[in-house]
Amino acid sequence: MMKILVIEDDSDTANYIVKGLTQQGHVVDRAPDGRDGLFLAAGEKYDVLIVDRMLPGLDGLAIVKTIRGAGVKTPILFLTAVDGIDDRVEGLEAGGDDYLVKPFAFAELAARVNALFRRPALAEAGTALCVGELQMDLLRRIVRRGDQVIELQPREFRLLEYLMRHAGQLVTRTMLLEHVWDFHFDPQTTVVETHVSRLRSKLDQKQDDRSLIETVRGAGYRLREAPSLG
Amino acid sequence: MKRRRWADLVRTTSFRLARLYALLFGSSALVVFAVIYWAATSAMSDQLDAGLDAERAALDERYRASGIDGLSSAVAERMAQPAQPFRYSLEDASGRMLVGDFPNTPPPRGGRSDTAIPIGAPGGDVDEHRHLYRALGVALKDGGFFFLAEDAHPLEELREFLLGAFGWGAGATLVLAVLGSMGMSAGVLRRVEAINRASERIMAGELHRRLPTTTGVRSGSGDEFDRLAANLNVMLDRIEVLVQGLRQVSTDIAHDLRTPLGRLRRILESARENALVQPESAVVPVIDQAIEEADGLLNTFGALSRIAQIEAGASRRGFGPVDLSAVLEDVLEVYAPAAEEKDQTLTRQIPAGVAVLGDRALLVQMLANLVENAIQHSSSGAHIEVALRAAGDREGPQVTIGDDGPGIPEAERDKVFRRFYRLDTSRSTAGNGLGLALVAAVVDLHGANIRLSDNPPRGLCVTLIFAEMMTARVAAEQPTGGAHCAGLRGI
Repeated sequence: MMKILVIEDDSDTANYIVKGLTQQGHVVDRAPDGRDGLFLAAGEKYDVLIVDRMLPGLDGLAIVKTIRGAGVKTPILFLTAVDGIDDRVEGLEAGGDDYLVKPFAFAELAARVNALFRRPALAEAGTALCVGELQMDLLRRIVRRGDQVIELQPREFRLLEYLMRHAGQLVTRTMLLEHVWDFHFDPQTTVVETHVSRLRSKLDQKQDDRSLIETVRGAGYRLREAPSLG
Repeated sequence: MKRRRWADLVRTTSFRLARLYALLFGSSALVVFAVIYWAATSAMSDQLDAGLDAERAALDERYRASGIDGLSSAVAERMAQPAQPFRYSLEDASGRMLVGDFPNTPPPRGGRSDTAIPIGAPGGDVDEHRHLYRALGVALKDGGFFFLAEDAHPLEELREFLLGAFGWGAGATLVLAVLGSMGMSAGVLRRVEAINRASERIMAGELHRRLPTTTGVRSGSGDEFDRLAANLNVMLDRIEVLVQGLRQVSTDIAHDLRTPLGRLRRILESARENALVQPESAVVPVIDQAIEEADGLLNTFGALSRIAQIEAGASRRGFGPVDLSAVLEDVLEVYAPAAEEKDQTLTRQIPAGVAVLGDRALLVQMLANLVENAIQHSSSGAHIEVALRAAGDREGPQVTIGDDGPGIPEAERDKVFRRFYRLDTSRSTAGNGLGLALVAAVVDLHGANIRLSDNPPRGLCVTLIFAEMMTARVAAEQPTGGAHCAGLRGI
């Protein structure tokens, strides 16, 4: 469960976000404009802030700059209606952690909010990642499933690393494109799908009845946290 | 109306210029006249003086030889001669007039006089012919006074002539200046009015109309108005093309978005009917289908607004050195599995460390689109070759992407960069018809050049040439995979 603040002036969008996140079991506050938002963000402790870029009064960029200036390290997700090419960079430079263009699928928002939530246990993991049977040595760049070493291409390694860091969470196709390939657009070809299926074929073993990487229909992928031991 | 035209004429720049020129020429003519007047009149009075001096010298000789009586008889002799230019007057010491022809007026005293004085004509009435004379008074040794004057009429005539000539000249110049400048202004005004009329029609929507020139619409050999009009015409050509493009885009958008919207509507309509007939039937798959259609539409809109933004040059401030070699390797690595799935071979010739100035994200997307196109539009088993060449002497880096797919007919090669333009042969393949339009926008933003050509024996070759000035250096080759984990935010 997370405590989330949504700073959004459009009440339709705000209700949509608040309702969805509440259904997922989070506690959600909403601020309808920049001043209230800044007041709430500075006063209470939140796990994630969701900030619209275009707000009446004080705009999103200014709010985030102010919040960051005050030393608040809460992860921030920007929302915007304008798909500005420089907006993403501007938002990240202002201190935002992620960026989502409206209109968006709720699954996408939820996945990104989950990914933003810093889980202390993982952050401390340092040079090794471990999910179930899967072990990843980040320094020697070796991946093992149980005793078996799995040979991966550099990109497959990054893909698996991202999935392992977000094990058990939904990771969308767009998130993978952005973080694994640094692609900030939507390719026509099924690039992600082909790469995921290659990775799957290397990870999965004959005795598996289910793949380690689950496909969440219409949304993305999820690395199973506790794969069955066969 | 007539009145207004006069006012227009007087207000024109050329009229004002002509006025200025008339003033300048008038003043310089005045100076020239003054010089001529002074030179001519002084030359003539010098001549008169010389005549006077010669006459005086001759008479002086007689006086020295035979005294005042001799002088008197000499003067009388001279006065008897017809048409001689001199007038004389001789007085003895007592002031008695011995000989002379200043009948009524006493000759002025005062020694030698260089000034002209009016006196009566010889033998005639004083008032009848007043002539100007140049006079010389000489006091004689024995106390007498001799006065000699020469007719200065030619000098007077010269002065009158010069003044008259200048008067007429000045008048004629003024009239010519006014008429000339009006004519010139009228000519200029006519040209400007013609251009104004044409531009008013263009503003009214007749975009095909062009500004008139004297030597034909495209000629640059005319005067400054022709050159101005020719330049504006070239600009109008460009605007017309752009506006046509805009119209075409609007039409295409309307057409291309209607199809998926229509599909969406059909999906929803049939879902509604199904729900009415069989309330227990599953709605989720239908809703998924509808969402998919809506997402497709949103993607198309996103791509359109992205292209528009790139075309507006909004992103140039994000420019920096981009390692083109690394970007290309990345893109190829991403698409390698997709090519493999179609049994296509993807070969590369990419030297390390080739860099350009640009926006990395946009360059990635552009190259991805080009590689994707090659993969999508070539059949399975095709061969795709990607090559990068470092900057040459005159050109920046060059990227070529060749395939042995169906290629693009020469006539269609310009059109494929338009929004929503799709070859008939590719209608069946996935895509929104915006990929190459985006490529063209990114190419333009980077001041690069893109060329489509045949790739013998068959297929298409896309050549992308960056401008020499966009060549950049990267400090060190960055690793393209592995350790580069900057993308991992929010962990």
